[in-house]
Order: sequence, then C-alpha cells, then structure tokens
Amino acid sequence: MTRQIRIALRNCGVIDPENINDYIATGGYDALAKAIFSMSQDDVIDTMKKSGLRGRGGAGFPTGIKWETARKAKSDKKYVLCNADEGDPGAFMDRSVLEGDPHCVLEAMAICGYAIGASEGIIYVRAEYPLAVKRLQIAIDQAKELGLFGENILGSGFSFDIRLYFGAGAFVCGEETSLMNSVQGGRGEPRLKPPFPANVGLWDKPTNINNVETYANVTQIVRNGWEWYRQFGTEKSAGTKVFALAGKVNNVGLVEVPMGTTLREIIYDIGGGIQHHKKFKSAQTGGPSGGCIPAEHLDTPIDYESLIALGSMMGSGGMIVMDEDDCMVGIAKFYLTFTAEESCGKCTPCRIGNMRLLEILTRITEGDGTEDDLKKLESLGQTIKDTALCGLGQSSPNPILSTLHYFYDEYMAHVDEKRCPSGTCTKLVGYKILPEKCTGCTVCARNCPVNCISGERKKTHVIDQKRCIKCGVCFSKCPFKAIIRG
Amino acid sequence: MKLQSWDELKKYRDDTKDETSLLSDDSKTTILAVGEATCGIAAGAKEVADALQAEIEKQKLSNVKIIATGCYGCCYAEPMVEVRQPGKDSVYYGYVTPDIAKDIVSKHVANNEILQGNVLNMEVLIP
Repeated sequence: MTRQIRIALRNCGVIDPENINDYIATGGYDALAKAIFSMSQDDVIDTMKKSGLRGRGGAGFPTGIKWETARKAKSDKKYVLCNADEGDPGAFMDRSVLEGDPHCVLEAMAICGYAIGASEGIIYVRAEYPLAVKRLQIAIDQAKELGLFGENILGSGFSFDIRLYFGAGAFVCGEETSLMNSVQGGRGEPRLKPPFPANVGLWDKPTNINNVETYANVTQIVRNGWEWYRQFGTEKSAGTKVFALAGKVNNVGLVEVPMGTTLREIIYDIGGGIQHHKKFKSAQTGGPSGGCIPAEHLDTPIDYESLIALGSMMGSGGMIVMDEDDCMVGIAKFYLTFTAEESCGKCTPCRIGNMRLLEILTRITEGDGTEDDLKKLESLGQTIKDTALCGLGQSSPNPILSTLHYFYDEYMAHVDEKRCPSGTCTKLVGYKILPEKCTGCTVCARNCPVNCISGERKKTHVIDQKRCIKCGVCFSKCPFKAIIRG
Repeated sequence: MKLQSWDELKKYRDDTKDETSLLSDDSKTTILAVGEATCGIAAGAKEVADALQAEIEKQKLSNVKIIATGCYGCCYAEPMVEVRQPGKDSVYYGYVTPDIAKDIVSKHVANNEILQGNVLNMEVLIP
C-alpha cells in the first residue's frame, strides 16, 4: 500500500486547532523564532529557493523567487496575503488545513513578512467557510495574547499583524489580482500582469501572495532545512501535494503524497478504487481550469509538468474520479456552465467566448450538434486560452479541449449518432419496456416519480414518452431487466 | 502574558505540554480525539462527542479527555474517533455512531478491549 507522507497536513486531525498550546507542543512557532533570531532575511529567501517549493494554488510558480522579488521591491509598506478563496468544485484542501491547523498558516505568513520586510498580513478567506473563519480568528487572538503576533514579536523588534478579510464567493477572486481588488473594496476583476503583485500589489504596494497549502509547507522547510524538504518529491516538483479525492472513488477524503506518485496509486491504493467495482473512465484534476485524464495515463507520475503535458494541470489539488457512467461531454458542459457563470465579464474572450462554447456544448448534448461544432469548440477554445486576461479565461477551455482530445469518440457519438454512450444526456436518452420480458410486476410504475408508466398487474406496462423525465429509476428498479435505455 | 524571547517560548512549551493533547509517555491521561472539521460535523461528530462524554460520566472515568481535532483525511469514514493512550499506538475508529461511541468508552477505554470490527487501518507517515 502506498504510504501517505504528510507535511502540510501533519497536524490535521492530530492537534486541537482551538488550543495554541497543542500547536506549540508540536514545535510550533519555533520556525518563526529560528527565522527572526538566527537567519537573515536573505537566508530565509535562500532556503525557500533551494527547497524547490512551488505554488500549491495551481500555477506552480517557485515560492522563493516570488518572495525574493517582493523583498527586492523598494517601498515603505509591503503586504503578505494568503489566498484562502478556495473555489474549485469538489476541492477542500485549504478548508481542511485552516480548520485543522490554522497556526501553521499564520506562522508561515509571519516568516514571509520577516523575509520580505512586511508588517501586515491579510488572509482572504471565503465567508462560506464559517468554521475555518472561527478557528482562524481564535488562533490569531491566542497568538497575539502570547506575543507571537503584534508589536515586537518575542522581543525581537520585528512586528507583524494578521487580519482576516472575507470573500463573498466569486470564483474569480481566487485569481490574485482580482483578490487584491476585492480587498481594496473594488470589484473582483483581474488586472493585467505585469506588473506582478510582488512589485505592484495591494494598494499598489509590493505584496507577496501565496495559497494556504503553500504556506502550510513553509514552517517545516524553515525548521528542518531545504535539504530535508528536497528528499520528498521529484527533481522539478519538490515536496508533497495534498489532493482532495472526490467523485466515484471509495475513500473520499484528503490525501497527501510525494510529487511523482502515480494517479493509479492515489486512486486505487489510497483511494480504495472505484465505487461498486465499476470501470474507471477519467480523473479530473485542477477543477474548472484542468482537464480529464483517461485510463491510459493512470501510471504517469504526477507533477506540475506531467499534468500540463497531459492537457490538464495541478490546480489547487481537486481530483474528481469518474466512472463509466459519466458522460465526458456532460462533464465538460458542467465545468463550462460554472466558468461561464463565474466569468467577471471584464475581457471579451472570456465573457463571450465561454458563453459561445457553452451554447455549442448544450447543442451537442441535446442532439443538435454537428461535426463542424467540434472543430469550432477546438478553435474557439484555443483562442480564448490565448487571449483571455486572467487565469480564469486562460484555462476555462481546458475541460473541453482535454475531453475532445481523449474522448473524441464520445463527442462523435453525440453529434453523429445522436447517442450518449453513458446515458446521462437526458435529451438523447429514452427508456422502453420490452413486452416479451415485462411480467407486469408493477415495480416500475410504483417507483416512477412522475407516474408516467401505466399497465395492469401481470400485463405489459408502457411508458408515456411525453411525460417521461428520463430519470432512469424504472431502468434501475426493474427486476427482470425488461427496460432498455437507448 | 507576552513571551519575550525564544527561550521563553521554549519554557512555555515545557510548562504547558502536560495540558496538551500530545501525550508524553508518563502521562496518565487517555485522549479521545473526535474529528470535528466540516466533514466530521456533517457526519454527526457532535453527537458522537456527546455520547462519549455521557458514557465517561456514566462509567465515572477520570483522566479521560475529549478533544476536537480537524480532518484526518478520511472524510468517507467520518465520524472518526482516535483513542490516544500514553505509550501505545493510537487506535482509529471510523463510521462511529453514538452507540459505537458508547462501546469505545465502556469496552476500549475502561477495559482495554479494542473493537476490532470498527478499527480503521491506514498508513500515514509524518516526517
């Protein structure tokens, strides 16, 4: 069995997150003390650079280089931001870290503040995470009371304060420049990069912004040294990654594995395989910005580069497992519906392009698609990727492009034969009772939620196709397999 | 109290460590850690914690403490209860109901009888 290695999640489920003494007993706040008392600002940045830690929010930018840029920027005021605006459907890594070990994020932000020369930190957390918010606030209050935040931390002369800012739930606010606009009280809309936040960030001041999980790795790197951290993971992607395993997998939950672990190990060894012994079809990584990885790539070692090569991306770590019953066109449509709705509307490719993609997909799932539509999806998707303003639009066509690439035959079945192979596109599915097999047991009629099946006991039943909502209940309930889908 | 130096932080750690839920080998306390992250609470962790508390009182056990932790990662098996005793490997229970919680206290904690059928096996390395 593949073993999980826990660095970011090391305290989750172990300590009482509402008791700072538990965290301190694990060696908590030693990393901060070590940094301010025995390391120079450049030492800390050097350690981060050598550790090979890369942004866990999705893009995988080297953390040390980000910190160095913010350190070099000249300004009277700098900020440390934490991106806790976790918005990918099915992803809950950041929530679990904040609920289970809030102090490790706070401590890391203070270390970052020391390294780049900032005295103020802000955590941008979703208001929809009430428990995380509550535990963060308790953690901040307890740490302040012990003099671990605020003026003159541990008598060192270094001061750092942290406060919370609540996000109202817009997906685009997880994009760093939109997030900063939102903190400033503006609309959650992205701005052009460059200039990057490390130079011109919050209130136009140099700002370092990292994701929750990135910070969760920092304290251990500072405490144990970069060489220690380097022993985990691969050459280009050091350390571990937390994945939120969801979908049709037996062991839904959080896993933390070294970079370079294969999808098969995560889904089968740790995740316990597919529910009800069904066949694996695809794993969706990276949420609405990622893609679907098919069965033939189950043995690819996962790191930032390999996922991009497969047409997906690491993203924040959501991993949704799909089985033979999932329609890949339907999945692409699900994500597009999400991104089209969450597009902020500032740039044209994303605002209009995604809407057009969604219309085409809807057409295909309703049986009105043509082969030409598939070409349009491809070229329009690529255009949006190349021209959108921020990460949302630059990645929103990924679910379509990757499913087109790996599951072209499913798209073809929809447009060519007007058939949905997995039987989930309701407009393309119909249910029929086979008279030769029907015994008139009445099970289907009794279970039909819209009462559209009629027939006398012990006589053949009939489905009223006009009233049928194609829910498939009769299909799964019939004890004699007398109902067919087609 | 504001700590004024790294040494004061280390001293504070030593002074408070016996009150924490991380047990030293010579501790006399048994800790029952209930996963109370969003996933655990949604699956009924609060009811499980209440049942543990009621049974502890009923059995008149002293030196048993219930703590609420975060998510251990096994959201599928929530509510989870970890029995943490000094000098022993932790035992993790999954899919705990208030009835199983009662048994955990009356059998495992009071009489050292592990409920084998409810134990959750997992391998996690914390380096």
